[in-house]
Amino acid sequence: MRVPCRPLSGGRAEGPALVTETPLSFFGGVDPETGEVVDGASDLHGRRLGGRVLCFPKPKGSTAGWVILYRLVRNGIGPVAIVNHESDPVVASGAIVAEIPLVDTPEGPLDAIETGDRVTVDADAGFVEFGG
Amino acid sequence: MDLTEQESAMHGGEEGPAVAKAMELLVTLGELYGATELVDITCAHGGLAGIEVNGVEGVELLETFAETAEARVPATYNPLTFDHRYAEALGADPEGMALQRRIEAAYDRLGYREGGTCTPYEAGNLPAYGEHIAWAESSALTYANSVIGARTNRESPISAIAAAVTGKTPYYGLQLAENRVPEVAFELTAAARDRLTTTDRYSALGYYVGTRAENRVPIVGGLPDLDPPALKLLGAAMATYGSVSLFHAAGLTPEAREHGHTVDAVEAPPTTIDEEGLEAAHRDLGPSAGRSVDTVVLGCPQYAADQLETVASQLAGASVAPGVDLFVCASGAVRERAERSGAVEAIEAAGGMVTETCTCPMAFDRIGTESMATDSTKAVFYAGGTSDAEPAFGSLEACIEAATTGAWPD
Repeated sequence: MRVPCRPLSGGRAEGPALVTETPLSFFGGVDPETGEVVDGASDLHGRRLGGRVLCFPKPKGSTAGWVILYRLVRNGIGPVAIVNHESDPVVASGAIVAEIPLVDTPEGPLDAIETGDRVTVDADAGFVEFGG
Repeated sequence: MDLTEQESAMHGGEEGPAVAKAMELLVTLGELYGATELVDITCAHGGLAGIEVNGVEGVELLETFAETAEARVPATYNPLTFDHRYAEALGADPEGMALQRRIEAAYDRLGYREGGTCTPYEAGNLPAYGEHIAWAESSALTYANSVIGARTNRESPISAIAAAVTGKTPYYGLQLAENRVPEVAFELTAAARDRLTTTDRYSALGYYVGTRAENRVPIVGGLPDLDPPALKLLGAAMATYGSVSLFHAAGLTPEAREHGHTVDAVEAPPTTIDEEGLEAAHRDLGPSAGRSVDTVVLGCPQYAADQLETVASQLAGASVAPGVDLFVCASGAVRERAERSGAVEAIEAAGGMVTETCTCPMAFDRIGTESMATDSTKAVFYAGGTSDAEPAFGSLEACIEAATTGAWPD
């Protein structure tokens, strides 16, 4: 299934999804040394972002979050792509300098995507692809 | 977005890869916010400076920018983590100092003004009323919008750098007059106004307004005539506890005076702030019961020269108690001014440290802090995140007494 999205940071990547329905903050919410989610309020607590297509509704938290995302990707332990319902300048800035694809504003439902599913994010063409 | 020929050229890589990346960032941010064009800025402030948050990766990114780009407008960066004068007291390790030197060198190559600060308006980066600027650092940008009447959005460290190296910012939000009008109103009672005699009370007021205003534009009526240090603290607290980027003080701040904004500009009736409300806000901010103190932090936002003189005169020849660290933060430019008046010497003779750093990324665990005291709500907020010690919050006088006795006064 292919769902058109708005591209915010270009590129194309695929990987196993890591999905949450709660907002995520990179600054204070993710350990920059390990890529592990440390936010106790997140249902991803304890999970690692490395190699994942990270799907979360919207970001929260400090503007310093951009550099946490950047550091993770630079060290090979960050997400390979990000899908938001409604992104923000903090995540967009981080994704752009880290050069990973980021899309938001999906034109169809993405709730069929479950953690572990293979997902492709093509921010150049502007879509997310998953399922059979 | 409609780009001019010059902007398209920058975006297309004609001015190097760093400028192209910066333009990509600005254009994307503009689109996120519904801007259809960019606007020229007169100055920029902010950019990564702390070593803990940014790491070696952030430093390398900054260095990459510095290879092919430079600031096209006057630009200043955020305060640093360490001051070499007090390296040991600040818990500076050689690796951290070396990383910090790389940051300073990169900003130098980028053509930024020397020395990091959160009070650029007191360090030679002073815009004028109505100018379009791009400032990050929540207390500085709130001051620029509210006390100066310049126009900036709530930039992030990297979008501020992108603005500096292109001289542009997307035209949205607080760049437009129509988005700068009061949205939520507060009115002080006469009794509450009369209580605003010490800086911690301004801080508490800022906390009160900020938590309720959130990210809207508040107008506060009934304030006494305020000097810049008070307005600095007021705005910083609002920016920290809400995410206020612009506030109006009826009859006092330049935009409020120019447009005649009063609390009646807002349709909903104002929230009344009385003495009880102020006291409750103050209590919320920190325990004031007698307790031992080992670290006193002043200058968040960084102090101006006359504030350093106040600290010197408050110390009045007394000494900082053994086992206590007194940090008074101020920019390099302000320190130079205060050196001429003898204030720095007086503070150092007492055993205090006038440091060009930021309290917020202070590694309290490295410093060995167990019990902190401060006159700044912003420091209270950030210390809470980095140390286990719940800070004592109160007036400058109380903080000085804590520094010289090692105990928070009753």
